[in-house]
Amino acid sequence: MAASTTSQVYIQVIDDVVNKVRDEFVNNGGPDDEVLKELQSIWESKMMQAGAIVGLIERSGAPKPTPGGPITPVHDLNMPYEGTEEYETPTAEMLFPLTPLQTPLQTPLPGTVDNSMYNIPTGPSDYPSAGNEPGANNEIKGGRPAYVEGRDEAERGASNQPLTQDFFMSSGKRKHDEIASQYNAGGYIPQQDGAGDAASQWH
Amino acid sequence: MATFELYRRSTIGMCLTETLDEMVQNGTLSPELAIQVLVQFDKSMTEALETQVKSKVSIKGHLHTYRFCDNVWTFILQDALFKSEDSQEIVGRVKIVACDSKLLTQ
Repeated sequence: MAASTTSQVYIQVIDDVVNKVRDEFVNNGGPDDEVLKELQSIWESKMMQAGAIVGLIERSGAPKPTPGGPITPVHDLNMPYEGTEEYETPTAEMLFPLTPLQTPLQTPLPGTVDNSMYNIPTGPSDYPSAGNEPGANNEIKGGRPAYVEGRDEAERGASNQPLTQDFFMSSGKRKHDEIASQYNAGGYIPQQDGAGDAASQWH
Repeated sequence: MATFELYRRSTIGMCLTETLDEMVQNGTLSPELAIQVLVQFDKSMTEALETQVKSKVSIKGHLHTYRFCDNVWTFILQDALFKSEDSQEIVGRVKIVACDSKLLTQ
């Protein structure tokens, strides 16, 4: 019922736009009525692919970003942007002109860092899905404020690829720091994570 | 009549933008005409939401992010439960952008 209603509204919006721009297409040396029909046809087919029904939109959008990961927004340009926007919240927020704000998430850095560090070893048992994403975001912002600013500048450059690389590099650095801290505490410097775990178990 | 451009970020707006980009790149459509279509979309979407959308839903979920900047409220919800009169649905991630229509000068 709700989905059908939404579809009807969408169809009426498409018809309204097409009818009201017809004069521009037909008169004043415009391209032609055929071009307008092509526009409507492509637009409607994209809407159907994206899921003309609200239920299908959520279902198709949710699983796609997860397997693709950071590669999806860069390579697969045919995927619906809704998935991309949902997956990369900071990018979407930065790209949205009506809400200009450098720091998407405003949370106390020390508390956030402590929580994230505590949550990672034990695992987010209370709220797995929410714990992972906010923790990752908070760690990046809390650990390296200057680097976050640089990343924002990269985003403003409207280049997706550097954004992906920066994110990956930042993640790697954080892991390295954590491993180093564990080694210092334990007194051992093994070359593999497995060795580290074994050392901790031995203690 | 002034309108918001935020509807271009919705699914129907993104589908239109993709269509226009493809047609401009193919040379089928001029960029100026594409912009006029987008401007008309802003008006049609605003009018449709005001006159054709009558249903109301309640939303309950985890408020992941909230922000008020330049008279625009932005909410990001996780695991949001949408309830309407005849159905309910859980959505993993929702972004709500709220602009005061009184800010538009007509």
